[in-house]
Amino acid sequence: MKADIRLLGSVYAAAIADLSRPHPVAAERVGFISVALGKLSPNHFLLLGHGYTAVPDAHYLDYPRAGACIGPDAIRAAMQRILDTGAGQLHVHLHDHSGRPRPSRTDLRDMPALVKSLNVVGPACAHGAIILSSDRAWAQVTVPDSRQLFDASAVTVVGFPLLFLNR
Amino acid sequence: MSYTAEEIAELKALCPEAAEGKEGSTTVLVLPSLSLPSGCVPPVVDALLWPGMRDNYPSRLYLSQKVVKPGAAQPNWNSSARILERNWHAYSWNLNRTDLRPVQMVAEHLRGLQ
Repeated sequence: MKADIRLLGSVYAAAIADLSRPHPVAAERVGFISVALGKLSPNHFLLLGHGYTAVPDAHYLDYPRAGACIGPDAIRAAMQRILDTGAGQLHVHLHDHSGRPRPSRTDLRDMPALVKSLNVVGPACAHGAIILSSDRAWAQVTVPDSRQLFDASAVTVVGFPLLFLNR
Repeated sequence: MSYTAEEIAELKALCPEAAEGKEGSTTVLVLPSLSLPSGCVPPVVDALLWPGMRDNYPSRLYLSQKVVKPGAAQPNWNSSARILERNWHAYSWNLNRTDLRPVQMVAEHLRGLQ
């Protein structure tokens, strides 16, 4: 199974701008990227990121043991967005450094449960998680044919300049 | 970026448990139980030195909690960050130079709390 993620340049710019903003209680911010799903071949999926949605300040919980902790309102909003638009959702946050980002223990523990919830309301969509750094990315996704998270093979920003974030 | 044994030894004189950590492509310095200038509450906190450009500052000193200075001007806490799986806070203090050794960077940043 293979999946490439391509983000519109405007979506990537919106995500970076929002995720870089300070938050009153959280040390980092979270957002969601809406993705359309296509197939390049039977086992090669293409996720097209076409929209970015910020998590409102009030949907964060004050939980200092994590960089950011979003509450049920934020997750319900993401699930409703799937129902309203039919677009899959990629949870996105920023590790503010250069170089390849790595998921933290918290990311690896909590992300599968979130993605499982998204799959319940959008079983025909691709969902997942993406971590951006200032110049690279890490991503795992699920697709309708496989509900197990697997690494995206490419994360590309479509625009000028064209950016390859996980080479 | 990595540090020489001499630079680490200088830091250990200030903070015996000083150690390097890797965050992306940046090698940061973790300074457990760093003593702060007199008048700070609490007087001892864990600290992390980010030795390169970040948030338009040439270097930053992060503390594990926001320190207060009773009866004095308060630091301008303007950044919170998740680094090495831990939340940190930094106050606005611009060294305006990049030629310092790590222990000098720490000392210069701490002037912001005097």
